[in-house]
Amino acid sequence: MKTITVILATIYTFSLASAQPPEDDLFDRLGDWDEEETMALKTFRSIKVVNMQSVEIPAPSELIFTVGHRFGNVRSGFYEMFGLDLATIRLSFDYGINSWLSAGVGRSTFEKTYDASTKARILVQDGRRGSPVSLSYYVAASQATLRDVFPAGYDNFSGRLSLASSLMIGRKFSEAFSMQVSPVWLRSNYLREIQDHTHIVSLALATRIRLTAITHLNMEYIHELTDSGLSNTNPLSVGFDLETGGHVFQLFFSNTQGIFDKAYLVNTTGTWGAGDIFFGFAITRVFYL
Amino acid sequence: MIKTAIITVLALVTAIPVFTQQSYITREGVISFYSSAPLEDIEAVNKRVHAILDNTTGEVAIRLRIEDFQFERALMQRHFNENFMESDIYPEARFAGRIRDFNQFPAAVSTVKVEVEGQLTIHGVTNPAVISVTISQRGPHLICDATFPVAVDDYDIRIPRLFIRNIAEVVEVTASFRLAPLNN
Repeated sequence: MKTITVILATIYTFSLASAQPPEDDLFDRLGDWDEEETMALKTFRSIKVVNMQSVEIPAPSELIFTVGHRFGNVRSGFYEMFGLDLATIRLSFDYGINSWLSAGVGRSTFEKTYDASTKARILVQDGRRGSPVSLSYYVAASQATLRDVFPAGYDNFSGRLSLASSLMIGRKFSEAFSMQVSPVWLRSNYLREIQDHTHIVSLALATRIRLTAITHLNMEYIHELTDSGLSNTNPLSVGFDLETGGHVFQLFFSNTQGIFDKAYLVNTTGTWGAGDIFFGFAITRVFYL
Repeated sequence: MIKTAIITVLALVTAIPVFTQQSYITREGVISFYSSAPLEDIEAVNKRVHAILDNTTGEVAIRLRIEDFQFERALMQRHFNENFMESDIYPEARFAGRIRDFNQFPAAVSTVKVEVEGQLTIHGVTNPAVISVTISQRGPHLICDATFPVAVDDYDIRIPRLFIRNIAEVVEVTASFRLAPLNN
């Protein structure tokens, strides 16, 4: 009987001890986190990779003002200050209407072109809910207003019009690496070079690699799939994104001087091999409306 | 002999309430922080904080997800997660502690001030912390409020030079929980 008492007393002591669980048990009692939708954080740092559109759109009520510069051909030498004297620019505004839709307008030096665009988020990458990629769709129209170059019959709104659209399929693999594949379509109603309309389909590939907490290396390559008979080359661009408080600075080298869709898709003439490299940068300022 | 056995059984029976311990819990606690620096004031709120108080031992466990902090500006939130907190590597912040000189709730007075002593883990770094908490009883609920400073340097949170004038070295953290009783 004494043995039983000892055993019971032992059990009693243990029961008291187990009634004071270690802190880890207390965390266990909080249960799991709710399986809730989380937005994949930025796949790319800006709404553009270099020239092409990224899967990103401006956040709701964000107004992004971008000043884009492209200098002339680096090969032009000291006389042109390695392209500095031949700079072209594009000023643009992009606004986030809501969490899935944005709209933008821009004006470029090249052929004195105005452009308007809209971009919609279709899918957001979400590991917990299933979609492995983010999907966005972009459509833009541009209107060249340069005088005395469009022949009769094309010298009207329709003749000066170009339309572009692309589907961006992007995935952020980690904080350090993202990738994007985009079919791109462009219709230009009049191209000076061939004095006719043209129609091309391209496939664009882009990546982002994190270098430091605030700098990222971006690369994009746009390969034309159609045989349009143009003498244009495929644009290949390498850029750096530098993030500061309310700005993103983008610095890049490319074989195209174009900043908007039509300009880099059909008016790219340089080749990297020949040293036709254009230096460019973009300064982005975000305003909250 | 039988007497001893009866006493032992009685002792066991009285120990049973220890098994059916009561705790207080919330999954919608609010923790916000405020940073005041020369260039800007930054505020962020997390309304999905989990907290539990063990009413037998006075032990406290609190956890939150860094990603759940909502900022006024999307860009700030991104910088916070990616550059400062590295929330992909350190997704959670935790506090595990115990109330000093703990008395079980409900307490005789409606509002008590207690000190909670424990370990605060942010950004993968754990430091000891003592936090003063005011606990008011409203019906069956416990309303807990606390404000305490957190020095970013203590938690190995590196602020890139470019942001140094935007972010305070010490941020003020405010916690507000409404704990509901939970029997288990």
